[in-house]
Amino acid sequence: MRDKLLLLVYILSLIYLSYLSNISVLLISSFFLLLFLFFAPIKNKLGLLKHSLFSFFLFSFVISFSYLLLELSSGNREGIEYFLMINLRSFGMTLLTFLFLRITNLYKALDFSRTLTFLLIIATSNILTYKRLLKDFRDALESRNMGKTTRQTSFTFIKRLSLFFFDKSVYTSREVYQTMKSRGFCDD
Amino acid sequence: MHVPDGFIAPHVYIPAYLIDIGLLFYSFDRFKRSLAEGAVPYLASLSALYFILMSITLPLPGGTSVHAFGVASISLLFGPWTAFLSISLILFLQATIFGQGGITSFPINSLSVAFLGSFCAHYTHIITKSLLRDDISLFLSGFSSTLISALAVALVLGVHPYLFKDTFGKPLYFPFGFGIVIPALLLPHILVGIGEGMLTLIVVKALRNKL
Repeated sequence: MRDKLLLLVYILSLIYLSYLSNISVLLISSFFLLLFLFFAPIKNKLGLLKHSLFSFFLFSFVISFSYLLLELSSGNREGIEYFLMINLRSFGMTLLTFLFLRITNLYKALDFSRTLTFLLIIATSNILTYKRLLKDFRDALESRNMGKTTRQTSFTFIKRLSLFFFDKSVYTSREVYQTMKSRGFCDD
Repeated sequence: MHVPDGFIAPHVYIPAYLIDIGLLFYSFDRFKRSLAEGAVPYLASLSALYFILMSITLPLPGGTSVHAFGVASISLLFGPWTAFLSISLILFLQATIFGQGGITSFPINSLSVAFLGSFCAHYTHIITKSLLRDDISLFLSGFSSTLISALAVALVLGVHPYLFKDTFGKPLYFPFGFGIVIPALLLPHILVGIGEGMLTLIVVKALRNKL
């Protein structure tokens, strides 16, 4: 119940933040979010803050800074207001999302649908396994190729990779289905 | 298409969420009906396969390389509705669990990349396969699906400064209009489209006999 309530609070706060365009209100909102981050019972607070900044910074900065330059070059000083407003809003919304994801169990928050929860859990676990396997494949390719990989080698690698992961996907889905069925999880 | 939160107006992302959720429910219902049993693990595995396809880097002529989307491959192999579902699932996990891409840009990406991209690849292949060589048809499916997705995102972003501005006419969300955002998104995506076309060609040719 706690996770579902937090999901509701998160959605409402996100919508509220996305409507804001007043710099003072955005500054106050960011201040409260940072205060919450400081007092929240979570580990690696600095890491979360860095992650939030890194996630929005590149796109937000490139777009808003190029707009600011365009405005300043045409003698318009109001571009600074836009620059501050959009970056503060983007930062606030990103930090809110990361805080929510850190203090909430997303799977529990979405367990009003059993199918959706299963789907998310199985897909996440498959992705984590596949990511590790993909890294092993890349390392293997690198270790067997001195210097730059040729285009032909890359294409053969992609072909083999897709064949392997396709077979693995078919096999894994059958295996997971049997496991779920034997434990009484399947309702299809 | 990693648009962070704050650039898309709630007047855009809230209706987009409603449309996207409706389409996702419809496609999941369709998917469950077409697959007698094991729909959930099969969809999860397909999504993971898509995740791998989108992680692949393709070498292009001139020494550059691009990350393809993998949308056309999944669409041509498993059908556009299944592709829409599995790609949307990955986009959702990227926005939430893996923290890449904004939560407010998810429905825009889901509708433009997963929905439009999948259907564009599917119909391009249907139209061109009787007119052109199979290799060219597959390449064009991948290429066109990338460009249509990029164009859709550009149109959604580009409409913001015309619709959402303050009393002084200054933008409140995404600041650039169609004149800037369409070429800014479409030109780099020509390269991505070439990569996507090549990936579609390789993957579909390698896998379609296994289905």
